[in-house]
Amino acid sequence: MAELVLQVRGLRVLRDGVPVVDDVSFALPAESDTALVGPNGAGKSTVVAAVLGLLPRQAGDVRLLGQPLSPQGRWPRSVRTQVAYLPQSLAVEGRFPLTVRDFVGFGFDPAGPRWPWSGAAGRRQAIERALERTQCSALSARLISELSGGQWKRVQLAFCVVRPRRLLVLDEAQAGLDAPSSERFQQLLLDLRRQEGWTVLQVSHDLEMVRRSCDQVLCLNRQLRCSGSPDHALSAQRLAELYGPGYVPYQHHHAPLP
Amino acid sequence: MAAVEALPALLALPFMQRALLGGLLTGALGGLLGSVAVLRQLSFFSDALGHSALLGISLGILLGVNPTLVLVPFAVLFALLVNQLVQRSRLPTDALLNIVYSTSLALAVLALSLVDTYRGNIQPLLFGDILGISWPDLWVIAGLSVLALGYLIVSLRAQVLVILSDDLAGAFGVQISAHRLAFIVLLAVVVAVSIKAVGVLLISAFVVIPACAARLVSRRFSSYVLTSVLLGGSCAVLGLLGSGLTNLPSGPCVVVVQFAGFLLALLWSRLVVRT
Amino acid sequence: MDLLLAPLLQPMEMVFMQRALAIGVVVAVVCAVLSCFMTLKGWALMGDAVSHAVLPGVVIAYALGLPFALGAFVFGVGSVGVIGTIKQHTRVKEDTVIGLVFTGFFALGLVLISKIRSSVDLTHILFGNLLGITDADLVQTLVISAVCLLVLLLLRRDLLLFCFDPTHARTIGLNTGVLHYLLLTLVSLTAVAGLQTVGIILVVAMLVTPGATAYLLSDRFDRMTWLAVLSAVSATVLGIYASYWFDASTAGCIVVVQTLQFLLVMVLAPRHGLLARRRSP
Repeated sequence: MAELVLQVRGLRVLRDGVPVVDDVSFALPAESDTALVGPNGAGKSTVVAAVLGLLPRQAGDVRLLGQPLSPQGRWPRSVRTQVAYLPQSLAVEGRFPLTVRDFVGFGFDPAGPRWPWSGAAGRRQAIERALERTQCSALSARLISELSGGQWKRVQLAFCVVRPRRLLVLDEAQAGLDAPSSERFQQLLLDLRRQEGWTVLQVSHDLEMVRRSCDQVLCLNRQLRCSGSPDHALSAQRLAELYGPGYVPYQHHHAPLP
Repeated sequence: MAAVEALPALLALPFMQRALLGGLLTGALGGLLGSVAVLRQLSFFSDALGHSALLGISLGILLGVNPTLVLVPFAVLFALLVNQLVQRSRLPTDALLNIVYSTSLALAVLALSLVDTYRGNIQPLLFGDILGISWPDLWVIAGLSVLALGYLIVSLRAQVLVILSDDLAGAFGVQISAHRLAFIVLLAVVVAVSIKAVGVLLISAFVVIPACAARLVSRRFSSYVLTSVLLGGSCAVLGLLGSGLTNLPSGPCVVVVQFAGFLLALLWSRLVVRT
Repeated sequence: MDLLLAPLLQPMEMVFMQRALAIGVVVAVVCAVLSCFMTLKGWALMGDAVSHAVLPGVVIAYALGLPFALGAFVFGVGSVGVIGTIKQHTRVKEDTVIGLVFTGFFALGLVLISKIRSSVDLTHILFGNLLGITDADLVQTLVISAVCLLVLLLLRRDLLLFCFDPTHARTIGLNTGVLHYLLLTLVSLTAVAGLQTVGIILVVAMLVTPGATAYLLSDRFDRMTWLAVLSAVSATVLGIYASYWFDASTAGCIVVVQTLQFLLVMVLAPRHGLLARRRSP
């Protein structure tokens, strides 16, 4: 029986008195890649936010490596550093005085009050290693506001990988990336995931990618309509149930252009 | 120049020394908090706080209590209330802040006009009265500076992550609401304490201008904060010296120097620093 | 009956009160109408900025013996030009640049004032002098108000579209650049007019609050304008009377009444008020 990294039971989140997520239960086995799909407004980002402790939840038991998430959204100290998060878009307005190296360094530092100059040696090495592994070494002295979309996404991955973690949560992480950057990012993510042994939960609209690379699919539309392997959950019938009638999925055959 | 020759004599005067020290500390403190406030887009918030401080002062006057004692708790309470209001209301933030501070200012002006001794003489409150600063005032500002510096150093990671994104910060363990509260309270106290130096109308400049200038020329976050602090302090000192020599009001002089500093930084960034 | 009306009628016998009410009402109307456009355009901060930035212009105009309106126009539009230039050459966020520029200009104005005018006049510029307004100022304010009102009425359709949907305005051939600067000029000039009634510091309240109040009460622009005018005029009249009877600052009274209206509306408005929203989830 595989270890369950994340367990969610009976999750319920209200907004203005109306449930946007209702009675959602799922579990993520270790090193699995789970996709959360559904139409816009289905509550996917809400599930992610609730699991990360960013939103209050009205009901539901959420456990990371067996440890419970408090009602206020705080993980116990033993698992607090085990979660990494890659948001949909992290906009940096204007000239921001923060270098890539300093930013990734903050991913290494634990939360809570600390003197910035403590723990210097291991820190520097971890940052360099993380930048290397995400192909960002050349960018280390640049300001984060000087990076292209693809470069910034890779730097954010470096932020996630600089310290060993068990769970990576992505919220439409490839939004806004052009096709080549998206491909590069996807490959990098796959490699890192294997190296780190990450368990991944990702919200995605790219059903083709989900079908190709995910182990488990959760179909959400306020409630969990369906869950299972991609073949099972992403069948034409299931998708019609999820997205509504009139939705006709096409399977792209990826042959190169003549 | 007669003005420059008068400088040594001016510097020998004890009240001038206190004023310069007070200005240096206040300017530095404004630069310190401003470096974070500007990036977190709280510049207008500090403006509203400053203007509303006049209401706190007038309340103190009406109640017959030393205005400076009333000002700090008033500023903190006010900041917390406005923060709640802004978070809960659907009106755009700047319209709301506008209404809030105009009203406080109007109430203050009203109240003061009813008190005979203050009719027409609220200028020291509006533009600062740095020359009237006392040693207890200086100790308070110094203590506050140490507190602010300590807090920001120790919570540097939290401050930067919150600036980038609340969600990112929260997901990676930052206590967002606690830090927001702490910063707003700190800002309120700093504004309250700086009123003496700069006056109510120009306090936001102290928080905004040195930080904006520093942002144009710094690459690392730590040098950004340091530059903001140094700019804030030095512009304050230069402005005060200028105001002492030319007999112009202290607050406006300092702000004019800060603005000039910003323009210089702008020029420097175009010519020297590669964006 | 006489006893009830006496408090209202007695001050009216005095010339200074008649003038104050007349000019106050005229300025209130202009501010209210402009305020509706500002609310739709989301220019609360910009209005704040421009009203502060005109101060050096007003002071310099006074020093040179020129009409205030000219100085205000130059510095009002000039400050926006400076804001635009700085934004272009740096990557600092707009709100911050605005705050920076207007505080800088305002400080400059304060420095100039202390060298040029007496402290009594400073208080009048900052907080208005409605009950003591001179003939020259009266005429200037009336002229400015009339001109602004006329422009607003003639161009209201174009300005409305510009505030609401600038992209659409451009596609049907309106010159949005011109409208942008025209609106800013109107704000600068109205700030000068408002200088007389509530002073430079509080004029932003007259430029923001009536529009915000009316916005909560109506979804139609024409009705919104009338409501804003009603709100501003009533606030001005009540404020003037209150300041006469309590011997308190006129500017303070007017703005406080204005805000009380806003607060009442914010809570009680039939559709957008706090109570109404709580009733229907």
